[in-house]
Amino acid sequence: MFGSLFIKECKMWLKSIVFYAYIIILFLFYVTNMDESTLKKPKEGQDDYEWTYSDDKKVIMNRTLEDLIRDYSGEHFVTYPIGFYKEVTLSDSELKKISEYISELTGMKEEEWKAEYDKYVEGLSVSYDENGNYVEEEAVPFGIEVSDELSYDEFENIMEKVSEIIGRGSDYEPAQLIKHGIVPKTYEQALKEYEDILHEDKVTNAYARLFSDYLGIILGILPAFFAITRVIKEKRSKVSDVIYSKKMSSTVMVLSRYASMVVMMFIPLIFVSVFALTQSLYIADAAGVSPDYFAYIKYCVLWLLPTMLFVSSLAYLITEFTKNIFAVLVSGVIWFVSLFMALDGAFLEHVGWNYIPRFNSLGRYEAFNEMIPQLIKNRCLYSALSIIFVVLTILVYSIKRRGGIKKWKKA
Amino acid sequence: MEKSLKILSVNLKHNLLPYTAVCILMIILSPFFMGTKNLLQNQTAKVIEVYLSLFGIIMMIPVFSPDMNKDIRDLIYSKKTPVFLLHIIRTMQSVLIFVVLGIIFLFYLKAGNCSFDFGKILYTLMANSIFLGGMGMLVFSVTDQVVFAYMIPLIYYEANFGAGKDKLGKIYLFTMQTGSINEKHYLIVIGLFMVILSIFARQFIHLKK
Repeated sequence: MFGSLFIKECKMWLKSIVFYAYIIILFLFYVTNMDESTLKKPKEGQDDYEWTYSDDKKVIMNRTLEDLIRDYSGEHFVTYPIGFYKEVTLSDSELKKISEYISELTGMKEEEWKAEYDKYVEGLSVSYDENGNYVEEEAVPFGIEVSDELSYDEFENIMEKVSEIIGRGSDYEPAQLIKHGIVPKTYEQALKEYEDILHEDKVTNAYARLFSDYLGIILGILPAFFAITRVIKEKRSKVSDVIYSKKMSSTVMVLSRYASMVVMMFIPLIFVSVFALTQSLYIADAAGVSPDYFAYIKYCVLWLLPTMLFVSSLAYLITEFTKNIFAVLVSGVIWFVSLFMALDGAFLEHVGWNYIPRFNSLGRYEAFNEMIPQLIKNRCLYSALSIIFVVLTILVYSIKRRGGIKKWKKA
Repeated sequence: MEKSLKILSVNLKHNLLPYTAVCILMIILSPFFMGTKNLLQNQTAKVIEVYLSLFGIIMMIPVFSPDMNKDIRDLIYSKKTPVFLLHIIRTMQSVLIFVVLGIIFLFYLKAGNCSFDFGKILYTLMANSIFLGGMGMLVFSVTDQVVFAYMIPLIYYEANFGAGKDKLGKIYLFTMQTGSINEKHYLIVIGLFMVILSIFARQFIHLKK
């Protein structure tokens, strides 16, 4: 029963405009976002090797302190709660608290570090170069540093309190502190990252991550349209009563629909990933590396499939419950907020509990390795939620089929 | 005139009310997660282009919703009032509502000491919203699938983040953040064209169904 219904549903999708639009959108999204240019080995003596965030705790602490003192002196604090700029005005008592935390960080009295800062500001001269760019020259270097007696953990604790005062989404949240320690990448660092892409990632894994990052964005919303379409189609064709009266169980009915939806969304994804794989194989070949042929399928199943399952099951549940397009709004809002909230990570690498994990970097093997435990937890959570939503959908469907909750209880 | 007012009031009561409520809610909630004080021109443009542009999708796609049901559609088509006129009135009402809401929001930003060119920012809101809304209307009109009508403009909106100005050229939605208003002329013209086309398509494609 399940098998024949599943096949019927799949055939129905083959006649649906939404299915073909999905394929085109997926492919276009891949083509317009992925930049698969050949890897270039860094050469010694290059002008620059781009930039990176320092992992030297002292650098992070001192740069953060410098930014905090500047913000405090200008009474100008900024947060990005969901990616949008938000200026925060602190009250006098909140400013006083920030000042106390600065004293705690520096081990200096308030008047001492303020006098140091005034000296630094007096020595600043501002001019514009021949291109009209703003140039700041320091006669006196910024001399205020974090106390040597303060450990990084203590520093993080203080910054957590500071960020609580400023509000959610500030650059002083512990996870954001790394952003303050921006430094030029050295030749050795650039070379190590290049070598990691070749030997640890075998090229294809690095590109498969980037592929999952981009496709994850669009798969954060597209599956919702599949689920909504399926339910609305039944409502518009007014065949619900006929289907409700059929012998087959609600579980078979809902599961066959859900499974066909997921399969019909997953197959085109695999096709696009094969296309992407061929590009990566070419790059691996040019670099003389033996590639991982299963990289893309691995990332599609473990990274993208849970997103697909979650989005489609949530939209299916809502639409089955409301029988209207309300799920477009709910899915749209969740997608919008998740997408913008992920923007606050350094390097646009963010997992946390966001249903759209981001890793918008080519390579950075070590950084990705550190994220793996959280990524696994995250993917397990959304897979589990999908199962719960499908079970709830079966329940809602059975209740509606019985003609309401009272009749369902009696049955 | 009396007939038009009747159409407007029925459409607002039975069709647009929940969508208008969503737009009002978006405005009310905005200060909780974005800056609405002391914004500069480019920061205001970001709020309008990224956030309020969605008004077009929310308000304009429901223009064809009431006649989605074939029985209602048959009834509407049998009336004396031409269907295209009905759709034009509904479209104008949707645009008017989101423009008024947009103006209220911009006044709120001005009161929060934001410095921006009111006319240019309002034009940005109208151009982006009409473009996205017109796209949704056209898809709805041709395919008669409401889900598809939301899907296409939403995906196009998202594509703007990844593809950028290089790939989307004159129809890139987020140009005002870098101070360029020229693209808005293209957006508003193409948007209006899609609106007109969708109304005609609705009239002719579905007339005999």
